[in-house]
Amino acid sequence: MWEEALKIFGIGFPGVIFTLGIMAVIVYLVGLVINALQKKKS
Amino acid sequence: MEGSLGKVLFQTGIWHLEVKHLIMWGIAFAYIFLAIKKQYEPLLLLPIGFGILAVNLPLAPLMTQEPKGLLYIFYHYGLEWEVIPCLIFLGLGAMTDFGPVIANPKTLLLGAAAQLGVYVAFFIAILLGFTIPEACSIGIIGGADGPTTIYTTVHLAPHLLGATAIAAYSYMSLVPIIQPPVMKLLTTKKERQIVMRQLRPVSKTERILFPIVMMLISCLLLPASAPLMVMFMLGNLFRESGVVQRLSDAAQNELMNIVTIFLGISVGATMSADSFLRPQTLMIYGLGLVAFIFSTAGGVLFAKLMNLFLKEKINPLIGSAGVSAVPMAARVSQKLALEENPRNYLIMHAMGPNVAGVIGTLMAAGFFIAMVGK
Repeated sequence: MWEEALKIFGIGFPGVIFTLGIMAVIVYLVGLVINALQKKKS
Repeated sequence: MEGSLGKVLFQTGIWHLEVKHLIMWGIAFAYIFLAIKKQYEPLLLLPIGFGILAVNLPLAPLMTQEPKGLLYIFYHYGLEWEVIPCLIFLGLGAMTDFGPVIANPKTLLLGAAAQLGVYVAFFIAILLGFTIPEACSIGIIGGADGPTTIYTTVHLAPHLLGATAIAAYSYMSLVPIIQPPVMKLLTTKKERQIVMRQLRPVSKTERILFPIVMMLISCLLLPASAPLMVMFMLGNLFRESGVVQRLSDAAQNELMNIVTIFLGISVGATMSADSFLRPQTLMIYGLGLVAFIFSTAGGVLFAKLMNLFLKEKINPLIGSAGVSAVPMAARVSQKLALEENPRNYLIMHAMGPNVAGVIGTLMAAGFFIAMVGK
Protein backbone atom coordinates (compact mmCIF):
# COMPACT_ATOMS: atom_id res chain seq x y z
CA MET A 1 0.00 0.00 0.00
CA TRP A 2 2.81 2.43 0.90
CA GLU A 3 4.50 1.71 -2.39
CA GLU A 4 1.33 2.73 -4.24
CA ALA A 5 0.89 5.80 -2.03
CA LEU A 6 4.46 6.92 -2.74
CA LYS A 7 3.85 6.38 -6.45
CA ILE A 8 0.71 8.53 -6.31
CA PHE A 9 2.61 11.29 -4.51
CA GLY A 10 5.77 10.94 -6.62
CA ILE A 11 3.85 11.27 -9.87
CA GLY A 12 0.91 13.36 -8.67
CA PHE A 13 2.46 16.36 -6.94
CA PRO A 14 5.32 16.95 -9.40
CA GLY A 15 2.77 16.20 -12.13
CA VAL A 16 0.51 19.03 -10.94
CA ILE A 17 3.46 21.45 -10.81
CA PHE A 18 4.69 20.30 -14.22
CA THR A 19 1.24 20.63 -15.83
CA LEU A 20 0.66 24.11 -14.46
CA GLY A 21 4.25 25.01 -15.35
CA ILE A 22 3.59 24.04 -18.97
CA MET A 23 0.38 26.05 -18.88
CA ALA A 24 2.31 29.06 -17.55
CA VAL A 25 4.88 28.84 -20.34
CA ILE A 26 2.21 28.50 -23.04
CA VAL A 27 0.09 31.35 -21.63
CA TYR A 28 3.23 33.51 -21.53
CA LEU A 29 4.15 32.63 -25.13
CA VAL A 30 0.62 33.17 -26.43
CA GLY A 31 0.58 36.58 -24.73
CA LEU A 32 3.94 37.43 -26.23
CA VAL A 33 2.84 36.51 -29.76
CA ILE A 34 -0.50 38.31 -29.53
CA ASN A 35 1.03 41.48 -28.12
CA ALA A 36 3.75 41.45 -30.78
CA LEU A 37 1.14 41.04 -33.53
CA GLN A 38 -0.99 43.83 -32.11
CA LYS A 39 2.02 46.16 -31.90
CA LYS A 40 2.90 45.38 -35.51
CA LYS A 41 -0.69 46.04 -36.56
CA SER A 42 -0.84 49.41 -34.86
CA MET B 1 -59.23 -1.35 17.87
CA GLU B 2 -56.15 -1.34 20.12
CA GLY B 3 -54.34 -3.58 17.65
CA SER B 4 -55.08 -1.20 14.77
CA LEU B 5 -53.97 1.80 16.81
CA GLY B 6 -50.73 0.01 17.69
CA LYS B 7 -50.18 -0.82 14.02
CA VAL B 8 -50.67 2.82 13.00
CA LEU B 9 -48.41 3.98 15.82
CA PHE B 10 -45.72 1.53 14.70
CA GLN B 11 -45.82 3.02 11.22
CA THR B 12 -45.10 6.55 12.43
CA GLY B 13 -41.64 8.00 12.41
CA ILE B 14 -41.92 8.85 16.10
CA TRP B 15 -41.96 5.16 17.01
CA HIS B 16 -38.68 4.60 15.16
CA LEU B 17 -36.92 7.70 16.37
CA GLU B 18 -33.52 6.92 17.92
CA VAL B 19 -30.82 8.95 19.67
CA LYS B 20 -28.68 8.90 16.52
CA HIS B 21 -31.47 10.70 14.62
CA LEU B 22 -31.70 13.35 17.31
CA ILE B 23 -27.94 13.92 17.16
CA MET B 24 -28.19 14.41 13.40
CA TRP B 25 -31.09 16.82 13.92
CA GLY B 26 -28.82 18.77 16.26
CA ILE B 27 -26.16 18.93 13.54
CA ALA B 28 -28.79 19.97 10.98
CA PHE B 29 -30.05 22.75 13.26
CA ALA B 30 -26.46 23.89 13.83
CA TYR B 31 -25.95 24.25 10.07
CA ILE B 32 -29.24 26.06 9.62
CA PHE B 33 -28.34 28.35 12.53
CA LEU B 34 -24.87 29.09 11.13
CA ALA B 35 -26.39 29.84 7.71
CA ILE B 36 -29.17 32.13 8.92
CA LYS B 37 -27.72 33.76 12.01
CA LYS B 38 -23.99 33.85 11.21
CA GLN B 39 -24.34 33.85 7.42
CA TYR B 40 -21.53 31.26 6.97
CA GLU B 41 -21.82 30.08 3.36
CA PRO B 42 -25.64 30.31 3.63
CA LEU B 43 -26.23 29.32 0.02
CA LEU B 44 -24.83 25.90 0.82
CA LEU B 45 -25.22 25.41 4.54
CA LEU B 46 -28.96 26.13 4.49
CA PRO B 47 -29.95 23.46 1.93
CA ILE B 48 -27.33 21.08 3.37
CA GLY B 49 -28.74 21.52 6.87
CA PHE B 50 -32.27 20.96 5.65
CA GLY B 51 -31.13 17.92 3.67
CA ILE B 52 -29.56 16.46 6.84
CA LEU B 53 -32.79 17.03 8.73
CA ALA B 54 -34.88 15.43 5.99
CA VAL B 55 -32.72 12.35 5.52
CA ASN B 56 -32.77 11.62 9.24
CA LEU B 57 -36.55 11.38 9.47
CA PRO B 58 -37.20 7.73 10.29
CA LEU B 59 -39.17 5.79 7.64
CA ALA B 60 -39.46 8.82 5.33
CA PRO B 61 -38.86 7.41 1.83
CA LEU B 62 -36.46 10.12 0.70
CA MET B 63 -33.15 8.30 0.18
CA THR B 64 -34.52 4.82 -0.50
CA GLN B 65 -33.34 3.12 -3.66
CA GLU B 66 -36.46 0.96 -4.08
CA PRO B 67 -38.83 2.74 -4.58
CA LYS B 68 -36.60 5.62 -5.58
CA GLY B 69 -36.87 8.41 -3.01
CA LEU B 70 -36.90 12.06 -4.08
CA LEU B 71 -33.53 12.89 -2.52
CA TYR B 72 -32.05 9.68 -3.88
CA ILE B 73 -33.07 10.78 -7.38
CA PHE B 74 -31.35 14.16 -6.86
CA TYR B 75 -28.28 12.40 -5.44
CA HIS B 76 -28.14 9.69 -8.09
CA TYR B 77 -28.56 11.85 -11.16
CA GLY B 78 -26.93 14.93 -9.73
CA LEU B 79 -23.89 13.63 -7.89
CA GLU B 80 -23.39 9.99 -8.90
CA TRP B 81 -23.80 10.95 -12.55
CA GLU B 82 -21.49 13.93 -11.87
CA VAL B 83 -23.91 16.40 -13.46
CA ILE B 84 -24.00 18.88 -10.57
CA PRO B 85 -20.23 19.45 -10.05
CA CYS B 86 -19.80 19.93 -13.80
CA LEU B 87 -22.64 22.46 -14.02
CA ILE B 88 -21.24 24.30 -11.01
CA PHE B 89 -17.96 24.57 -12.88
CA LEU B 90 -19.77 26.02 -15.89
CA GLY B 91 -21.08 28.78 -13.63
CA LEU B 92 -17.70 29.25 -11.94
CA GLY B 93 -16.04 29.62 -15.33
CA ALA B 94 -18.54 32.29 -16.31
CA MET B 95 -17.81 34.13 -13.06
CA THR B 96 -14.01 33.90 -13.22
CA ASP B 97 -11.74 36.64 -14.48
CA PHE B 98 -8.50 35.02 -15.64
CA GLY B 99 -6.95 38.42 -16.39
CA PRO B 100 -4.49 38.31 -13.44
CA VAL B 101 -3.24 34.86 -14.48
CA ILE B 102 -2.83 35.90 -18.11
CA ALA B 103 -0.97 39.05 -17.07
CA ASN B 104 1.31 37.11 -14.71
CA PRO B 105 1.39 33.39 -15.71
CA LYS B 106 4.00 32.65 -13.01
CA THR B 107 1.15 32.65 -10.53
CA LEU B 108 -0.04 29.36 -12.03
CA LEU B 109 2.90 27.75 -10.23
CA LEU B 110 1.64 29.08 -6.90
CA GLY B 111 -1.72 27.45 -7.60
CA ALA B 112 0.16 24.18 -8.12
CA ALA B 113 2.38 24.50 -5.02
CA ALA B 114 -0.65 25.16 -2.85
CA GLN B 115 -1.76 21.59 -3.52
CA LEU B 116 0.89 20.45 -1.03
CA GLY B 117 -1.74 20.01 1.67
CA VAL B 118 -3.67 17.63 -0.57
CA TYR B 119 -0.75 15.20 -0.55
CA VAL B 120 0.18 15.70 3.12
CA ALA B 121 -3.40 14.91 4.18
CA PHE B 122 -3.38 11.96 1.76
CA PHE B 123 -0.38 10.44 3.54
CA ILE B 124 -1.71 11.09 7.03
CA ALA B 125 -5.05 9.57 6.06
CA ILE B 126 -3.26 6.38 5.02
CA LEU B 127 -1.36 6.39 8.33
CA LEU B 128 -4.69 6.58 10.12
CA GLY B 129 -5.93 3.48 8.34
CA PHE B 130 -7.96 4.87 5.44
CA THR B 131 -7.72 3.05 2.10
CA ILE B 132 -5.95 4.75 -0.82
CA PRO B 133 -9.17 5.84 -2.61
CA GLU B 134 -10.51 7.20 0.69
CA ALA B 135 -7.22 9.00 1.37
CA CYS B 136 -7.40 10.66 -2.08
CA SER B 137 -10.92 11.90 -1.37
CA ILE B 138 -9.85 13.26 2.01
CA GLY B 139 -6.66 14.83 0.67
CA ILE B 140 -8.50 16.77 -2.03
CA ILE B 141 -10.30 18.75 0.73
CA GLY B 142 -7.00 20.67 0.95
CA GLY B 143 -7.66 22.08 -2.50
CA ALA B 144 -10.45 24.15 -0.92
CA ASP B 145 -12.71 23.47 -3.85
CA GLY B 146 -16.14 22.05 -3.01
CA PRO B 147 -17.24 20.77 -6.43
CA THR B 148 -13.86 19.12 -7.09
CA THR B 149 -13.98 17.46 -3.67
CA ILE B 150 -17.44 16.12 -4.47
CA TYR B 151 -16.38 15.00 -7.94
CA THR B 152 -13.32 13.14 -6.61
CA THR B 153 -15.17 11.56 -3.70
CA VAL B 154 -18.02 10.34 -5.89
CA HIS B 155 -15.41 8.68 -8.11
CA LEU B 156 -13.23 7.17 -5.41
CA ALA B 157 -15.05 6.87 -2.08
CA PRO B 158 -18.76 7.75 -2.41
CA HIS B 159 -19.51 6.58 1.15
CA LEU B 160 -17.43 9.53 2.45
CA LEU B 161 -19.25 12.14 0.38
CA GLY B 162 -21.15 13.81 3.22
CA ALA B 163 -18.10 14.15 5.46
CA THR B 164 -15.65 15.35 2.78
CA ALA B 165 -18.08 17.82 1.21
CA ILE B 166 -19.05 19.31 4.54
CA ALA B 167 -15.40 19.52 5.64
CA ALA B 168 -14.42 21.24 2.39
CA TYR B 169 -17.19 23.84 2.58
CA SER B 170 -16.76 24.38 6.32
CA TYR B 171 -13.04 25.08 6.04
CA MET B 172 -13.56 27.26 2.96
CA SER B 173 -15.66 29.56 5.10
CA LEU B 174 -12.96 29.45 7.80
CA VAL B 175 -10.13 30.53 5.47
CA PRO B 176 -9.87 34.00 7.12
CA ILE B 177 -9.24 32.30 10.46
CA ILE B 178 -7.01 29.40 9.37
CA GLN B 179 -4.65 31.13 6.95
CA PRO B 180 -3.31 34.32 8.64
CA PRO B 181 -1.33 32.62 11.45
CA VAL B 182 0.37 30.29 8.95
CA MET B 183 1.14 33.18 6.59
CA LYS B 184 2.61 35.32 9.37
CA LEU B 185 4.63 32.42 10.72
CA LEU B 186 6.29 31.72 7.38
CA THR B 187 7.04 35.30 6.26
CA THR B 188 9.08 38.17 7.60
CA LYS B 189 7.71 41.67 8.02
CA LYS B 190 9.97 42.80 5.17
CA GLU B 191 8.58 40.14 2.84
CA ARG B 192 5.01 41.07 3.71
CA GLN B 193 5.79 44.67 2.77
CA ILE B 194 6.90 43.86 -0.79
CA VAL B 195 4.97 46.04 -3.23
CA MET B 196 4.28 44.45 -6.61
CA ARG B 197 4.18 46.31 -9.89
CA GLN B 198 0.74 46.88 -11.38
CA LEU B 199 -0.37 44.10 -13.75
CA ARG B 200 -0.27 44.78 -17.48
CA PRO B 201 -3.57 45.18 -19.32
CA VAL B 202 -4.79 41.99 -20.99
CA SER B 203 -6.22 42.11 -24.52
CA LYS B 204 -9.56 40.59 -25.47
CA THR B 205 -7.85 38.15 -27.85
CA GLU B 206 -5.75 36.78 -24.98
CA ARG B 207 -8.86 36.43 -22.82
CA ILE B 208 -10.67 34.51 -25.55
CA LEU B 209 -7.73 32.25 -26.35
CA PHE B 210 -7.00 31.46 -22.69
CA PRO B 211 -9.92 29.06 -21.99
CA ILE B 212 -9.44 27.31 -25.33
CA VAL B 213 -5.70 26.81 -24.85
CA MET B 214 -6.04 25.77 -21.20
CA MET B 215 -8.75 23.27 -22.01
CA LEU B 216 -6.65 21.73 -24.77
CA ILE B 217 -3.49 21.48 -22.65
CA SER B 218 -5.15 20.09 -19.53
CA CYS B 219 -7.36 17.57 -21.32
CA LEU B 220 -4.54 16.35 -23.53
CA LEU B 221 -2.14 15.96 -20.59
CA LEU B 222 -4.69 14.65 -18.12
CA PRO B 223 -7.90 13.39 -19.73
CA ALA B 224 -9.34 12.42 -16.31
CA SER B 225 -9.77 16.12 -15.54
CA ALA B 226 -11.75 16.73 -18.74
CA PRO B 227 -15.37 16.82 -17.50
CA LEU B 228 -14.75 19.62 -15.00
CA MET B 229 -12.14 21.44 -17.06
CA VAL B 230 -14.26 21.49 -20.23
CA MET B 231 -17.23 22.98 -18.39
CA PHE B 232 -15.03 25.47 -16.49
CA MET B 233 -13.44 26.77 -19.65
CA LEU B 234 -16.71 26.75 -21.62
CA GLY B 235 -18.23 29.00 -18.94
CA ASN B 236 -15.23 31.31 -19.19
CA LEU B 237 -15.46 31.41 -22.99
CA PHE B 238 -19.13 32.43 -22.67
CA ARG B 239 -17.97 35.32 -20.48
CA GLU B 240 -15.00 36.48 -22.50
CA SER B 241 -16.38 36.04 -26.03
CA GLY B 242 -18.87 38.82 -25.37
CA VAL B 243 -21.30 37.41 -27.95
CA VAL B 244 -23.37 35.14 -25.70
CA GLN B 245 -24.12 37.46 -22.83
CA ARG B 246 -27.41 35.66 -22.16
CA LEU B 247 -25.69 32.30 -21.77
CA SER B 248 -23.01 33.81 -19.58
CA ASP B 249 -25.64 35.46 -17.38
CA ALA B 250 -27.67 32.25 -17.21
CA ALA B 251 -24.61 30.20 -16.23
CA GLN B 252 -23.63 32.73 -13.54
CA ASN B 253 -27.09 33.28 -12.10
CA GLU B 254 -30.11 31.10 -12.87
CA LEU B 255 -28.25 27.87 -13.57
CA MET B 256 -25.81 28.35 -10.70
CA ASN B 257 -28.65 29.03 -8.28
CA ILE B 258 -30.69 26.04 -9.38
CA VAL B 259 -27.71 23.70 -9.28
CA THR B 260 -26.69 25.03 -5.85
CA ILE B 261 -30.09 24.03 -4.47
CA PHE B 262 -29.73 20.48 -5.76
CA LEU B 263 -26.09 20.32 -4.66
CA GLY B 264 -26.87 21.42 -1.12
CA ILE B 265 -29.81 19.15 -0.55
CA SER B 266 -28.10 16.16 -2.21
CA VAL B 267 -24.98 16.55 -0.06
CA GLY B 268 -27.11 16.92 3.05
CA ALA B 269 -29.03 13.80 2.04
CA THR B 270 -25.84 11.72 2.16
CA MET B 271 -25.49 12.47 5.86
CA SER B 272 -27.68 9.82 7.37
CA ALA B 273 -26.92 8.97 11.00
CA ASP B 274 -25.51 5.55 10.07
CA SER B 275 -23.02 6.92 7.56
CA PHE B 276 -22.05 10.08 9.45
CA LEU B 277 -21.84 9.22 13.16
CA ARG B 278 -18.53 7.38 13.00
CA PRO B 279 -15.04 8.16 14.34
CA GLN B 280 -13.94 8.36 10.68
CA THR B 281 -15.94 11.57 10.25
CA LEU B 282 -14.04 13.34 13.02
CA MET B 283 -10.76 12.18 11.51
CA ILE B 284 -11.83 13.57 8.12
CA TYR B 285 -12.57 16.95 9.72
CA GLY B 286 -9.14 16.94 11.39
CA LEU B 287 -7.39 15.95 8.19
CA GLY B 288 -9.21 18.68 6.28
CA LEU B 289 -7.73 21.25 8.65
CA VAL B 290 -4.24 19.76 8.24
CA ALA B 291 -4.67 19.87 4.47
CA PHE B 292 -5.68 23.55 4.54
CA ILE B 293 -2.72 24.51 6.73
CA PHE B 294 -0.19 22.71 4.54
CA SER B 295 -1.74 24.04 1.32
CA THR B 296 -1.39 27.58 2.67
CA ALA B 297 2.21 26.85 3.70
CA GLY B 298 2.98 25.28 0.31
CA GLY B 299 1.87 28.39 -1.57
CA VAL B 300 3.73 30.81 0.70
CA LEU B 301 6.96 28.79 0.72
CA PHE B 302 6.90 28.35 -3.05
CA ALA B 303 6.52 32.10 -3.49
CA LYS B 304 9.60 32.56 -1.29
CA LEU B 305 11.44 29.98 -3.38
CA MET B 306 10.48 31.81 -6.57
CA ASN B 307 11.84 35.03 -5.09
CA LEU B 308 15.31 33.46 -4.98
CA PHE B 309 15.30 33.43 -8.79
CA LEU B 310 13.19 36.46 -9.69
CA LYS B 311 14.49 39.95 -10.34
CA GLU B 312 11.12 41.47 -9.52
CA LYS B 313 10.16 39.96 -6.18
CA ILE B 314 6.65 38.78 -5.48
CA ASN B 315 4.96 39.26 -2.14
CA PRO B 316 4.83 35.75 -0.62
CA LEU B 317 1.45 36.56 0.90
CA ILE B 318 -0.12 35.95 -2.51
CA GLY B 319 1.12 32.33 -2.37
CA SER B 320 -1.49 31.41 0.21
CA ALA B 321 -4.21 32.41 -2.24
CA GLY B 322 -3.22 29.32 -4.22
CA VAL B 323 -5.77 27.39 -2.19
CA SER B 324 -8.73 27.88 -4.42
CA ALA B 325 -11.31 29.35 -2.03
CA VAL B 326 -12.19 32.15 -4.47
CA PRO B 327 -12.09 35.05 -3.69
CA MET B 328 -11.79 34.67 0.08
CA ALA B 329 -8.16 33.49 0.07
CA ALA B 330 -7.16 36.45 -2.13
CA ARG B 331 -8.93 38.81 0.27
CA VAL B 332 -6.93 37.33 3.16
CA SER B 333 -3.66 38.07 1.31
CA GLN B 334 -4.87 41.61 0.69
CA LYS B 335 -5.85 42.12 4.32
CA LEU B 336 -2.48 40.98 5.66
CA ALA B 337 -0.58 43.13 3.16
CA LEU B 338 -2.62 46.18 4.15
CA GLU B 339 -1.81 45.55 7.81
CA GLU B 340 1.88 45.95 6.99
CA ASN B 341 1.53 48.73 4.46
CA PRO B 342 -1.81 50.56 4.10
CA ARG B 343 -0.99 51.41 0.47
CA ASN B 344 -0.11 47.91 -0.67
CA TYR B 345 -3.09 46.64 -2.67
CA LEU B 346 -2.38 43.01 -3.50
CA ILE B 347 -5.85 41.81 -4.37
CA MET B 348 -5.40 41.62 -8.16
CA HIS B 349 -2.01 39.92 -7.75
CA ALA B 350 -3.55 37.44 -5.32
CA MET B 351 -6.41 36.66 -7.70
CA GLY B 352 -3.84 35.08 -10.04
CA PRO B 353 -2.83 32.22 -7.72
CA ASN B 354 -6.39 32.09 -6.45
CA VAL B 355 -7.92 31.11 -9.80
CA ALA B 356 -4.80 29.08 -10.61
CA GLY B 357 -5.56 27.12 -7.44
CA VAL B 358 -8.87 26.01 -8.95
CA ILE B 359 -6.99 24.62 -11.94
CA GLY B 360 -4.33 23.11 -9.64
CA THR B 361 -6.95 21.29 -7.57
CA LEU B 362 -8.59 20.04 -10.76
CA MET B 363 -5.25 18.67 -11.89
CA ALA B 364 -4.60 17.02 -8.50
CA ALA B 365 -8.05 15.42 -8.69
CA GLY B 366 -7.34 14.32 -12.25
CA PHE B 367 -4.12 12.60 -11.16
CA PHE B 368 -5.91 10.85 -8.29
CA ILE B 369 -8.72 9.61 -10.51
CA ALA B 370 -6.33 8.57 -13.27
CA MET B 371 -4.11 6.61 -10.87
CA VAL B 372 -6.63 5.22 -8.41
CA GLY B 373 -10.02 5.25 -10.16
CA LYS B 374 -11.49 2.16 -11.79
